[in-house]
Amino acid sequence: MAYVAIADRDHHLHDPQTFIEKYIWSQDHKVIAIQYGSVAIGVGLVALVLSLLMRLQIGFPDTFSFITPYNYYQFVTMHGMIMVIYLLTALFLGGFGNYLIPLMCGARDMVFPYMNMLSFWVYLVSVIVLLASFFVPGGPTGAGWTLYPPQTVLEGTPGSDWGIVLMLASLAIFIVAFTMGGLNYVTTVLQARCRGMTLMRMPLSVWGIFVATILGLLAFPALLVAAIMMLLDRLIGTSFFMPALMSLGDINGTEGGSPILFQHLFWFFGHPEVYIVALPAFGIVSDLLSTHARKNIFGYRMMVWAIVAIGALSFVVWAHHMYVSGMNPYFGFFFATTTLIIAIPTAIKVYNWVLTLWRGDIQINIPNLFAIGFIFTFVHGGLTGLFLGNVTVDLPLSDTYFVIGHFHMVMGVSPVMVLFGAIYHWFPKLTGKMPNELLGRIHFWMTFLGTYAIYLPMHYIGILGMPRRYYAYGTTDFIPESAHAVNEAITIAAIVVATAQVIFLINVFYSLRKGKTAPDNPWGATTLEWQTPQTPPVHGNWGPKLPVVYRWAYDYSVPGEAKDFIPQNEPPKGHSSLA
Amino acid sequence: MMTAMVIAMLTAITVWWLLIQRLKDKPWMTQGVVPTSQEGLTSSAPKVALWAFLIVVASLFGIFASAYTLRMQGHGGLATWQPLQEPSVLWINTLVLVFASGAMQIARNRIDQDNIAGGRGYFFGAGLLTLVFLAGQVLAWQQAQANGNLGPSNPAFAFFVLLTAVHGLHMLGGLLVLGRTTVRLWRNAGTTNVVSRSKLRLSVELCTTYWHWLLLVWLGLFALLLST
Amino acid sequence: MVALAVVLVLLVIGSLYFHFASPWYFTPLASNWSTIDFTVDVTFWVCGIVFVAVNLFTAYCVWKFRARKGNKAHYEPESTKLEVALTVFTTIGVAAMLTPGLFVWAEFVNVPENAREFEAIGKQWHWGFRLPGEDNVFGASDVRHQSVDNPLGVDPEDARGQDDIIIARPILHLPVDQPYKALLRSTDVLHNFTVPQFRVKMDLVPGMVTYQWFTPTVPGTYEILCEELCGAGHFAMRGKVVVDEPAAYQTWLANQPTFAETQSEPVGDAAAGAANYAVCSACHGPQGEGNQTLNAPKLAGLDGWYIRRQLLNYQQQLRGTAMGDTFGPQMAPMSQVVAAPAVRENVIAYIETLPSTQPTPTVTGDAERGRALYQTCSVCHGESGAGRWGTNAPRLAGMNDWYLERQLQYFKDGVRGSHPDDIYGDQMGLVANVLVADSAIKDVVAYINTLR
Repeated sequence: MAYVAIADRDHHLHDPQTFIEKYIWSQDHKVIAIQYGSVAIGVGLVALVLSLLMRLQIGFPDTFSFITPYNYYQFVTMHGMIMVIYLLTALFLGGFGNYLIPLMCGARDMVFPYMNMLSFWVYLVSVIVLLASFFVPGGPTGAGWTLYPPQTVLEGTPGSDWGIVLMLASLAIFIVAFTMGGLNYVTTVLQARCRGMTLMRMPLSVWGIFVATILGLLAFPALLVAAIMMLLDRLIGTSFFMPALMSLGDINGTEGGSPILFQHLFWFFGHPEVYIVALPAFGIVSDLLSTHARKNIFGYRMMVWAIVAIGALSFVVWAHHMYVSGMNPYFGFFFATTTLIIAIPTAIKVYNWVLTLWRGDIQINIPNLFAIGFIFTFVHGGLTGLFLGNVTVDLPLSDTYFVIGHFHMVMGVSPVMVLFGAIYHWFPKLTGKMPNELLGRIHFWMTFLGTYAIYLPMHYIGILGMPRRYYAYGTTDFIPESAHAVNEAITIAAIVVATAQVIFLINVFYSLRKGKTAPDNPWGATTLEWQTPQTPPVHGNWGPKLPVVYRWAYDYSVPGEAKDFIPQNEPPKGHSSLA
Repeated sequence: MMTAMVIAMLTAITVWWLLIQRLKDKPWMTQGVVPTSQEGLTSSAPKVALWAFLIVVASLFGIFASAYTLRMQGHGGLATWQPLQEPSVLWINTLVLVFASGAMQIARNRIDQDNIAGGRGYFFGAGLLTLVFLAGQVLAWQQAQANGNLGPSNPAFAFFVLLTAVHGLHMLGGLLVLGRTTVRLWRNAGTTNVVSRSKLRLSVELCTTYWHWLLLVWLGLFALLLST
Repeated sequence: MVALAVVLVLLVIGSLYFHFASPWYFTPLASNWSTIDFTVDVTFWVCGIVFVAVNLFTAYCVWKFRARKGNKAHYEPESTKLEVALTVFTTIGVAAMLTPGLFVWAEFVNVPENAREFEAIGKQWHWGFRLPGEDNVFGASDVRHQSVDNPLGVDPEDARGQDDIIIARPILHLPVDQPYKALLRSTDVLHNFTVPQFRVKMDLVPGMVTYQWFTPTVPGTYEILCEELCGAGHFAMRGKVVVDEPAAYQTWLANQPTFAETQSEPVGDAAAGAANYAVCSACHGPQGEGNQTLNAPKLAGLDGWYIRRQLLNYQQQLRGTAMGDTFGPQMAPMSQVVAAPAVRENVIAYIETLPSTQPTPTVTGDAERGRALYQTCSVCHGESGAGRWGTNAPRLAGMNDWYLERQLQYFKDGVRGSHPDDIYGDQMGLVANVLVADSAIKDVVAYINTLR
């Protein structure tokens, strides 16, 4: 039969023998996932330190000599770029995508293991090139993660000599890595699902990552185009983005270029990018909530539709980042409308998450704490997005701390809640050990309450009118002393939250060595990755025979059944196993 | 702007359509193994991956084309666009590329019918013609520069070089794969191993699809350049 | 899980309390854009209700359906009716917010017929303004015309520009209750013209002219903030809008020069200036080399435009009047001696002819640490400390180090630059605060001593 041939045909799985083949130049998706995850978290810690330096300056201006405006803008830029691209995108897709897709689809590995391995190493090169910008003359670029021209390539901005060149090169290399990985994820989902695993039987984690990958494959080219054109403007004097200008007293010599063209290209990528981060989070949290409430995700079909709809709509909202950019003002009508429309499928997802909890059997464990924490923080962040998406409301709020509060809630806090929940949830499967409960709880409470304490007040000083990307405010006639005190409080909260992450790291390393041995399926989950013969799964995942799937991913608490869950590969009663 | 929107909408609709097909059944109702017709596409994984990659390539060139159009409209102030006099060699290059695709197709048809010996010459020939095309593109750059004494600050010239260079790089990448496949065609022409032969057929098929796609991209770029 | 439910409820209550008790909200409105405030209020109500409802419901579920012995989850894959109802309800909420938003945006896009115009020119890192003058038409402008004497780049060949009012200082006056369309023009990079009390803002994009419009309704002084990252000096790019009653506005307007007037300033005669300079040489030295004992800094080597501004600052009491300024009050009456424009220009022309020699260093500090600190200074003052007229930054290299040290301390302490009309001084004050420790001042000055 054709499908058996597709899923389990003569697939010469690379058979590693040596240590180097198994753990360094590995073609096993699980090893590659851990490689991606480790590098992403490592570079994310660098970005976390940069954010603390920024907060030290904002909270306590006139205190730290070593933070000059020049450095400050470099920290701002590198923090943003690392977090969005090199941490969140890499971890959700390169880390979780790689680990979960073959296992949840019942495949032995990705369809192109060699290219998968290459994609990690190219990603690592892109990280090294990016970090190298700290060591070149002039240091890294200080243009803001949005890299707007013309300032980015002119002398008044830090890093306009070499920093920006390395940044753009690093992004181009990352895009190559992402394309290689992305082709793998998409093809594996379409081609290598095991027998019985239809698209509508896939867990939402896979749907989220799958649609996010498609978004990435279509959106990253826009960033590549913008990066190449800016690189040429900087290196050989083209005028793609550079109009006639006089910079710091010197005529520049370019003419006719359009800075707004860059913004269109950047945000045509940039908006789908935030959904590339959000959709996997949406998918994963659906599975976390469902498993830990012992109840199917409410409205699975609508959830899939919503993921697809959000993905598609994400391509027609980009200019809500450009309401005050000076673009044709009539575009504001269109983009405000599409942006507020995209709120509807997103709201449906929120309702469905909560309705999953309704009449559930809600377990007390760390993954579930983080999942419910996600709901609260995402509701907040999503709602503030409605403020900014409405063009009129955006007028006073654009470029203030309200924007920073909003995007940290929806990019930094809620997806990171999902990341932590996911790591605690799959830790037993990945390592064979249970994470420590007490450390996990302390980590959760400090992170959840601490991040809310950081970002809630931030919205209000933004409404007051405190601009973003300001090194210092000095004395103004409208910012009261109390607002500066708020900044102090936020900084202290940030230091506390950052320290709390040390507890997480301790938990990971401690549990790796001394954690309780984990049973094969400690959470009683239905999805395929928990049904592997070994824990952690070995190379090839399934042993001699691939699983066969008989049901959807959410048979929890089915009436009339003894157990409160039925694994996807368990045949219906009276049916002999076809596997 | 409009082009970008059109691309975005088409993308959106395609994705939507592809997946909305599956959203009608209620997965909790259907237990047991599902008939084969509902599972996945029937073409092989490398083909699916190639098509996905080709859509990415199309997206890349589509966005370049949008940027070109926007910049040309003097978006942002002075319309300093001095139209380029298209170098005449571009017509020859286009013809060369058409022949290359043609040769590829002949090679593919023959190799599909198991006539490796008869097809590999055409395959190799397609590669040579592509090299000629690339050389011709470099010549075109020199011609364009000489024609109007142009440099990077002229946006028409800058775009011309950029678009052709990106297309050329994609062809170069294709040539790498073509080179490896050519070596295998020569080495394994006589083999009776069914798997090897089917792998060779697949490689040739993928190369041909890629070449045709890049020819389409080139025709699109050429039309764009000519229309301005 | 009970704990979580309780915490969620507390967070909802806490957030509501924070919102209503927060002293940090919009600044009092000083323009016509109350409709923006109204739209924000509608948004807060709709979103607030959703926030409270969804989170309280979540807390309820977490508590009521927590895992307990004998508890079993209910099996319900979906409920189309419920989902449709929720979708409809959400759509209504979205429409409720979007509708006023689009109407108000239409108001913003369509400038009223009776709006007058002013032009705001943004460059790294200061503002300039232009009014269309009596013919109500702005003359053409271009970056290529920009120079020390023509900072706003007005085209001297265009007759319509001759009567344009040039405001080269970042303080603009506007009459109350008159709608204005702000034409926004950047000569270098992206900027953004924002006055929080007016609510509206818009980017400045080099190569094009953007706009915003508003009607100031409350007299007062309001700060202009740049709100698009424009380089290392972004946070120090400040200005002021002063909203006047009509009479006061007319007085101010009458005092502003036209472009033609700015182009017909007397040209300095260095030979004549030599005689005028005699009174200055008593303190500043016959070669303008400065005199530390008399606290008079070196003048030779400074650019004319900077000498001009400082003389004007002293004359207009923007400088030399602050508490703690020991030597400024000495300079102020001296500046009156050369107050007549012709005399002033002659003196400046003469000083520009004086040869400049490297003075002996007197300040000791760590020049290596100073180099790192100087990186920020270099964006305005140049890597070699030669100064840039484009950023209003004077020459530092080759000037008296003891004087630089004192001025940096004065900027930090607000002795210099704190006059409300001294925007450039305020800018220096913001930046000087980077030098936190006193030793930092010595370090950066020691580094400047090495610059040639």
